[in-house]
Amino acid sequence: MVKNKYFYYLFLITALISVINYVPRSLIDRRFDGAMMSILISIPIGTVLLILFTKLMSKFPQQGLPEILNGNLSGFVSRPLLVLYSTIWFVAGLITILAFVDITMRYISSDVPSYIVILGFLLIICFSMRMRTESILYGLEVLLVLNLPLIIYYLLKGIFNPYFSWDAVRQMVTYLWDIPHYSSVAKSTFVFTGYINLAIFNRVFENLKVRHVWLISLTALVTLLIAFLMPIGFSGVEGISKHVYPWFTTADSLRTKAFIIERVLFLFYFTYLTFSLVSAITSWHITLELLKGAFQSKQGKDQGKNTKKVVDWACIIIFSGITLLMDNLNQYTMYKVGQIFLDVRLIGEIMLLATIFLVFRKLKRGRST
Amino acid sequence: MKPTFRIVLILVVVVLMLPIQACKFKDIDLKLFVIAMGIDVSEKSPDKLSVTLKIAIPQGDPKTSDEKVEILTQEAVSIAEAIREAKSRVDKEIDFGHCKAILFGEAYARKDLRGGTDWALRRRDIQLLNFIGIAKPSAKEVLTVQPPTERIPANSILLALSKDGTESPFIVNIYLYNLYRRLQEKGWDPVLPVIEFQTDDEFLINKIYLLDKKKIQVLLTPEETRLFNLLTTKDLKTNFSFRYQGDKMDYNVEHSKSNYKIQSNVKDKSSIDYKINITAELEENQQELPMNKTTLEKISVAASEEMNQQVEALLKKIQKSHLDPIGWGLRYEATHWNNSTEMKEWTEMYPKLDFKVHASIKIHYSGMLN
Repeated sequence: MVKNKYFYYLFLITALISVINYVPRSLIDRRFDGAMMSILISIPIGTVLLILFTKLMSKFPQQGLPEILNGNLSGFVSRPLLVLYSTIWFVAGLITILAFVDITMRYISSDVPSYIVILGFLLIICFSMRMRTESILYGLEVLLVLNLPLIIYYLLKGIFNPYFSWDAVRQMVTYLWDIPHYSSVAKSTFVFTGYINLAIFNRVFENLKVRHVWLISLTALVTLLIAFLMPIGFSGVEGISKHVYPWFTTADSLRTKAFIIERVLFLFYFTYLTFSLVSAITSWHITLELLKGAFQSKQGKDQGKNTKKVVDWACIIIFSGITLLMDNLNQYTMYKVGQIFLDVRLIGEIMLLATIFLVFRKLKRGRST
Repeated sequence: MKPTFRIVLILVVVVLMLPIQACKFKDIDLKLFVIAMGIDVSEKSPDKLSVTLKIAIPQGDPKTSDEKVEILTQEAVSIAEAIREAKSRVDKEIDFGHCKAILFGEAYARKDLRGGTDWALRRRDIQLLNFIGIAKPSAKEVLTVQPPTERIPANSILLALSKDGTESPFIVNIYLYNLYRRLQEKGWDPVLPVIEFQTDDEFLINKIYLLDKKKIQVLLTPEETRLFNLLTTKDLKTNFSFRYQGDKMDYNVEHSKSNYKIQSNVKDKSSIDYKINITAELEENQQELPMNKTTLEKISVAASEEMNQQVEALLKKIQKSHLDPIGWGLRYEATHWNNSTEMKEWTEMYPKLDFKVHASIKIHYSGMLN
């Protein structure tokens, strides 16, 4: 059993990884088209979803989504649902890996074929995603504690840089009153989406209570504003759209005179390397657990242990296979896939919330009659 | 699965990956590091470019090293082509990872420097922290300069431009990303420092060029460049000369700060109001005018007035060029919420703008003498 603080880590890692998962770039593409407003709108939406979901999950103490669905619905309904939901997490992990492999290819090792980089990533992720749920949370904590000070250092370095253009930022803010699109709202709410990982991680929380929700909302707002506005301050309101990876361009524009190595880009890269690995591990761990739940037979423990192993290896092979196949996509298709995922994700989350709510109501009625 | 089998499996995978891992990586002694490069228009044919690479040759012992530099010039139709052709003239792989300065020859920049900028940004291995400058008369000649104070190849240009070494008030440094964002931005035009060839072991950086979105346009004098620096940076380290009752004096700037406001409330009477605050100390007093509290105040006023005139003349010159190197247009856009019309308003307003400069210089210290 773990303490409540691990919930905040789950939130934080997703908020931080949004930089890799195309959130800033999607917002920048719509910057004259309501991106600012969608950031503001996403805060109440995200907060409400977060509160509802955590409240609902606390009604099912120490149960994950598989237990909730399998225990209260018939197998014909619960299994397809689990498989369906697991794909969302799978795609989330997949996009993080592929986007980061692309970044690695561009900035670090363009001489090495990309499948080797992917194999290296897959090796780590596939073996770590089979760890115990608690172990993953502990690993997450250590990585965040080590890397957060660095991230804060880069941000301060950027904001107090004399070449940071506040006029460009203010010019962006004047586009506040444009009417936002659904897709940019969906993309902004991604920073909140860490709470949804409770679907599995709820198993290890003894008695989940989320205090200081305002702190989460504030962090999300600040994260979004920085993720969106800081690249604009460095690359200009017009120029920013020309850059494929706005955040890596920003990191490349920073220089430190007295810290390990002059180019902040490489420090930033290694910080985000750990973030994307641990984020992919969390996502795929959830996928794996959901699939295990879907293919587990309800009775007989020994048999259950055997199917678990089969599911494990089947998943490792299938996940790796799909990742290697997806590597052939070019950068524009990849970006498109990332965008579609971000759009679909919000609906998926609301559906998941509705499903659990229905189960909860059914359970309550069953008790009262 | 037994745990031993699992470990063996992992080991097998790792061992299998070993031979492919390092197949294309080249050792450091098989590389040539480009430290600075220049792009010129070819002298023989105007369609061709001439690319000059200043290459450092790696040395074993950094303490005893004497500079070893190779300068390679290659002509071709494009920059990419020139580099590939240069590659077949050397024995080792050319590496751009340590390139820290890209110079455009004056003739090249007068034609169109967007091609070179685009190339530098598109290449993944070229840092966005490259210093950009205009080389006069050509990039090739400037890159051949070897000052006797230089210890590491091409380091003198980098030290001067980065202000890590000399802190001259006449140097404006522009990074690659800064040039690019200004080339793209509406209402903010680029400037670039000019690096002039003097002799084989000396160069001079004390002017800037104002650019439009394509090429260089107007050259500022050293005096104007310093004022430009005063308007755009905080705490500029410099002196300024002025006259007081026919007496020549100089003060040293301790703190400087300048900001501006665009006043556009009244139609046809819009103006840009500059406020320049300087605290300074007297550095030179050629006729040894005795100093006391009242004379210090009087010379402060005289200095302020002279500053007002000089800055106003510079601003008028900038306005006349129809360029916007300080980003007034962007500021106008940033402070107005009518996004669809603001740029049109600004372009109509800009040529008719009035400039009001209010410099307040406080010479609060007379130096070590009274």
